[in-house]
Amino acid sequence: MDTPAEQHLLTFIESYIAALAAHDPSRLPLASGARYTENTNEIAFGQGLWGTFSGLGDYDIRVADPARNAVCLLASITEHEAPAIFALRLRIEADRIVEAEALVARGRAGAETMGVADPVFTTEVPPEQRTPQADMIALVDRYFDGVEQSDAFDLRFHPDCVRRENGSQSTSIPDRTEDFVAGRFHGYALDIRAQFATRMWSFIERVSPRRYVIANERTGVVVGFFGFQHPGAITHFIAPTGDRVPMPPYALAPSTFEIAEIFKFEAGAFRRIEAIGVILPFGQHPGWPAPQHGRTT
Amino acid sequence: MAADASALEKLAELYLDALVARDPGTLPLHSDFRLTENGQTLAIGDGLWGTASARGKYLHVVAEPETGAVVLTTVLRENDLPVIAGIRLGVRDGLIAEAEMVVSRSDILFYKDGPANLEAMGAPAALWTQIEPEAERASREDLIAVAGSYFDTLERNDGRHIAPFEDGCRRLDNGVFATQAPEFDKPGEPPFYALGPAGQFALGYFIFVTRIRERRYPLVDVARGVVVSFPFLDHAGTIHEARLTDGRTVPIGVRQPFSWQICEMFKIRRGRIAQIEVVLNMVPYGMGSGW
Repeated sequence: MDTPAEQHLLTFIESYIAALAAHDPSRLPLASGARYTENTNEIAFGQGLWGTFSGLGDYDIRVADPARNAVCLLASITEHEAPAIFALRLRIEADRIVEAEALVARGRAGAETMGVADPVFTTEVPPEQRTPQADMIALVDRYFDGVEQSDAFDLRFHPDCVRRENGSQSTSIPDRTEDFVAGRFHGYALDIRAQFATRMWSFIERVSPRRYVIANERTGVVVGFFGFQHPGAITHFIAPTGDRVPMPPYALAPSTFEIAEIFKFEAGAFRRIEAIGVILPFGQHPGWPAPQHGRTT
Repeated sequence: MAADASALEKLAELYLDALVARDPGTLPLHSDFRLTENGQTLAIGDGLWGTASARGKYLHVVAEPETGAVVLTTVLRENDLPVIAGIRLGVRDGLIAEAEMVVSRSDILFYKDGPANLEAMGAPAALWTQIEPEAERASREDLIAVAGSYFDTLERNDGRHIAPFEDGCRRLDNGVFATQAPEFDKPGEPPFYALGPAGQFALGYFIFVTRIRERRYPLVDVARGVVVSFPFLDHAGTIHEARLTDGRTVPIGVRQPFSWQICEMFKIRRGRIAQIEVVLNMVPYGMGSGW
């Protein structure tokens, strides 16, 4: 059960979606000077998705953080008949929206595979298994350090923990063979922890900036917006099996992925991870200032 | 000290050689040097400077000594995959002070064969380098006005305003001719791609190009009648049909917002557009150029 403060924040998602569906930002309780970015570019409320949104799909996660006055929606949507994946962050001050940040993954992003949200993200964690919010953020930060350094360190993962990226599972999925396969190596078949040390993520030079938006101890959830920097210069890696494995085609050109990612924790261990991302020109700034929490560079 | 046209063209060659060698150390860079790739300010060494692997054959270079601008379109290999690039260099005191690169890695639409087409062509059509008779040359401002008229024609195209075109004018988009190209027309339907630019625009089909933004003209070669621009074509995704001037109503497939970042070259003779070459790179809606 959401707390009353969470419920109040979640009403802003309701009104935002209603205004989007009406293509009418004048229905929003906007603070003066409120900013809107879509896929990191600042545009006017009313442009971009405001002109094309048709409705929500089946995938829908809503999370709130009263301590940070923040609320997020991760959802499948349609723009006219075209499917897309949507991540929305709102910051509320004095009952007005001061910041609205949207990522809309379009085209070949994988919207049709989103399905429905795993209820684990919104399920309350028993009090004895909760993780302090600062610790949860530190664990996600450590996780991204691990991505950068191909090292899982001492991070703990629930045996069933998997990660999905734009609707496609990317860990513990033996059926997935389109990338990271060579000789005896099969990257996607490995579990989330085992993947780190293989160097299969070494095309991700940096995860920066790291902007933490929500850390909710009650549900054990962290949501952030993260810049994945891919210079495109690493074309192969040598796997622990000794195989020389080609990087996937999307890693062979410079790009930045701006990713909204939700992490679920139980008893200090990662329980489930879901990422929604858009591909941007390499080096594109997220359009918002440096974060209050976690690393900035 | 202003560089002459041949010095600017040599700098363009030097830039490409250094780029594929991934070694900017050989370049005469100004202390204020700034690089953008696809709208982002990057350190030299990042982006295509870290991935380019070979030069292609196709090279189209235009220079304007008066402003120290040189622009080229070319094919390059990046980690051995082909890309098309439009590159502008700004030269001050004989040194490269600005580099603006539009790198198209797009294999969408019908652009997949573009790099191979350009390589087969090897060089731009001869008219691009023809010097216009002095008596027939237009001023810098008049040439820019003709290019601007083209963008006015394309933006919310309704068939009413048509820029001046020569009859034989063709437009080359990412290495693929998108006009006088009957192979892209569907059998049994009235010709569209088979038409020239004036004929296409007269139908009012491109109404879904909702805005042409940041219309910069950093290079004009008055003697050759060439204008170069680096604008954005915004597609709001809100216009789902076009009522053509021939009475037909046709569906528009653009349902989601996006922008094309482009490098566009116009050849203009006697006040008319004779040829167009474009490098198009798909970017998030509303993105800026960094300039």
